Amino acid sequence: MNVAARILFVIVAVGTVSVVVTRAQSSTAPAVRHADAEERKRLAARVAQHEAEWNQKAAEDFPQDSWSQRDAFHNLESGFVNDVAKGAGVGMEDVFRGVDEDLHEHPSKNRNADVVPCKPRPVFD
Amino acid sequence: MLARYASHLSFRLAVFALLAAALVWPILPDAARINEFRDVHHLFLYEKSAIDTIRHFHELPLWNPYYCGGFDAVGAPQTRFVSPTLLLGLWFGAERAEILTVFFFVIIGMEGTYRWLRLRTPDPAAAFLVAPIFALSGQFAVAYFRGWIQFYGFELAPWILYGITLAARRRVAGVAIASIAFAIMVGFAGLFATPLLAVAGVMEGLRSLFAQPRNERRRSLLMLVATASFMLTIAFVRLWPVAETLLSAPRIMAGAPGHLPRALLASLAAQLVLKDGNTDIDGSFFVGSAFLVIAGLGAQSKKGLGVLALVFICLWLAAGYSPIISGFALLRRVPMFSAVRYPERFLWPAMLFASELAAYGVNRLPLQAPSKRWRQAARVILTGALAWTVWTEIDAWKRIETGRTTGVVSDEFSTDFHQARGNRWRTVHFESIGLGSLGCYETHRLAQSRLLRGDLPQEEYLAPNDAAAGTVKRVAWSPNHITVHTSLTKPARVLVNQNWAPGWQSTVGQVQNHEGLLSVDVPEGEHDVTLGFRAWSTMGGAAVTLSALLGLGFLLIRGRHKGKLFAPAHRVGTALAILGPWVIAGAAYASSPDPKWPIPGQTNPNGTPALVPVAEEASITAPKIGATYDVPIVVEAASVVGPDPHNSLALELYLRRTGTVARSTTMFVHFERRKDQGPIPKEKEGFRNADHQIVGGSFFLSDMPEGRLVHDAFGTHLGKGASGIWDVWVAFGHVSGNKGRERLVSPGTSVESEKRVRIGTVVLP
Repeated sequence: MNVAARILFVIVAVGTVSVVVTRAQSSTAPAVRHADAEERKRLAARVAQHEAEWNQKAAEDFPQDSWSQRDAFHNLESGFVNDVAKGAGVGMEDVFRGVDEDLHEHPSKNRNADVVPCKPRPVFD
Repeated sequence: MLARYASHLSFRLAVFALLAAALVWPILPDAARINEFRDVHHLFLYEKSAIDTIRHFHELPLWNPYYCGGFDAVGAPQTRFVSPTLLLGLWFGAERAEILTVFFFVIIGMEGTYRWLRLRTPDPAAAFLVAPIFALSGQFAVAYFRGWIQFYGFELAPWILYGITLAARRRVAGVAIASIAFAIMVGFAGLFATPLLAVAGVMEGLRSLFAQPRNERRRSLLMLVATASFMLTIAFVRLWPVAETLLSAPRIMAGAPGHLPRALLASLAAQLVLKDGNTDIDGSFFVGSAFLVIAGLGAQSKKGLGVLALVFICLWLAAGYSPIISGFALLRRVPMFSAVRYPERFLWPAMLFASELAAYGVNRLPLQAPSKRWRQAARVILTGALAWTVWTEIDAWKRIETGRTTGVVSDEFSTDFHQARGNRWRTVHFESIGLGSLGCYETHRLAQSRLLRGDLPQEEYLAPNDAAAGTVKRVAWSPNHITVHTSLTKPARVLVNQNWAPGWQSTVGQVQNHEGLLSVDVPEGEHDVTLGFRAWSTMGGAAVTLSALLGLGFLLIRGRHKGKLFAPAHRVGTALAILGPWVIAGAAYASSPDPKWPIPGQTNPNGTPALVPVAEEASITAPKIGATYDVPIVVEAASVVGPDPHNSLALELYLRRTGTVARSTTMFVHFERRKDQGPIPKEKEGFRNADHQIVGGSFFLSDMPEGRLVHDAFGTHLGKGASGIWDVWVAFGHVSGNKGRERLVSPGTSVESEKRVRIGTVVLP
């Protein structure tokens, strides 16, 4: 293979890498509206309304398994927060921030602000 | 003509880059978005927080406070930043770096496969045509879909095999290639792929060794030993911290997964599609049927038959527990392989070895044609079949990846920090706003203090007993360093709302492990106390890695200038270069100032101890049974409490292992409604089981300490149970092999039915 062909292939390789990198770099995430403190409070209140029901469902699904119950609670919370954020047109960060602010303003023993140490169920494959 | 071009690196890189570009092209416009698949949340967080720690705090990402209350980031098996790909993240950001990492790894995988195939394939065109198949195969598509970017480290597998073969051929460059590729793979979170690679590496090493002239085999063996040594020592910066983590909290595996030949074939040749938002085993290792046929045809020679044997060994392992004699089960008995999961992943090395067969096929089949014309036709057909395979692989990748659910993470970043209740299913949405997620999941039991809280007024505070001693105020915070100002009228303990781990030090007072919480005992008076994290395992591991790199560099230079490394004149220098890092490792380990992890208590999922202290055995309150099984296990006592308002039962069993028990042993727990109570309504049920192999979610029945009383507490939900009297029965058997129930020697004080013993009776409303 002659030198010109080699140079051509090097240009193709470098050019391809450049195009891929440029295309990735030019990708932008859609801007998300931020909720103010008042709106975050309202969003957090919607989450808090459902917590007792999620706890009950988790207790039914995973009796005698503390970590799994907590994890199931978070799974239910996760889906709801996603829906709430989408509905309000804000990022999930704002809903979670609202929940966090709510928990700090009104600490309560019943709102799962404590920790059940991570003890995943044995991994079945 | 293709052979002439294929032998040139510039041509190959151009083609491989174009193929990789075709693969990632449809995803590039979404490069700034994140994958919302559940596993991504903690895996992506590990990478993003490492990048943010460097970018915003100008520190190495040694400690990750953003998840689970904090942990040693280098010691976490699934963090992937200890590799050169971190530079992509720093340059392009965590989101965009993911797809670029995939792009570059795919090119590297193709080039590595080409080089490895060329070692045994005389025709560069054959190696070139086959090389992309492995690098584009279905499991890489599955990995990207699920956010398992770390699996792309497996693209380095052909490089490792390439290096091993070169080393067996006594070329010192092989030692360097294998060991550096392995270190990158391990740094890129390839820990769980390492056992697979160990099997493939041993097979490759042995066949390469026996391919050498008899009088050179001793030197080849020494080169392979040197390779293995450098593989371990160069990766030491990662291996030591991870070993420390996993030894303190092992991953518990269960089950007896197995695949019939038809399922394995489907995973290689069926179309990869999404079902219920996830991928299935069908097509999950897609390489296409044309490739399999060409590989099969390539096995028609003595050389090919040897490689075919390697493929079959891998397929045998991939079949898991399905064969009568299970290679996978045997492998799991070896400690290093005890936590290997998903046997089908052995299809990865199987595909690599099959690539060699396919290259033989592309090279040899046309030569068997009767005329030049037929030979050309055969070449066109084979090239077309492989090109079609590559196209279908790229198509499958696109189809799967465009089905991902993507989201957006806030581009703000807060350098302030406190722990929040969090949510592991969405954990990536917490870090950027300066919150740590206490909601936590990992595949191994991660040490988390029960004292962590997500609603504290301040993250650093005085222990309750010392609350009146003064005040604590945060002065500065970064992931690795926390500075507080203490104003104390007497010595007091300051608690930090993060986990303790070996490696935390303080400029004032003494760091303490306060029920798993990071804390420091501070003397009275005014102090600025800075807590810093620097694990000795990482520092010591880095020293070993550095010395190994220096040793390897020395051998590379010496090998180039003086030839044989193990010639009598060079032996001492070579031995020093190889053994030096191990001496440093030993010295570093022996001089470690860090305390060890406390031995974790074995607990049931409800938090109760799984082992009864000998002194307390007599005081257990559950009704005594004393049923003896042939296994040999004795059910000493049991209680069944409930149903509670959720219609759930709480069960407690007290078991004692009295001899050797097979690992496959499982406990059958049957809940049966008595038959003389009339029919069961249509939507209700009269039977349920809670069979399990792992006691207390902590250890296998076979691993129960012999002679000790083990407490197994668990629950079951009988929400669909028909009303009436239900009996609870226990028996033992095996999870594989359908061997039925083990013999019940004596039911003790209880009742027997079908080799089962009754441990309780309840009434469902």
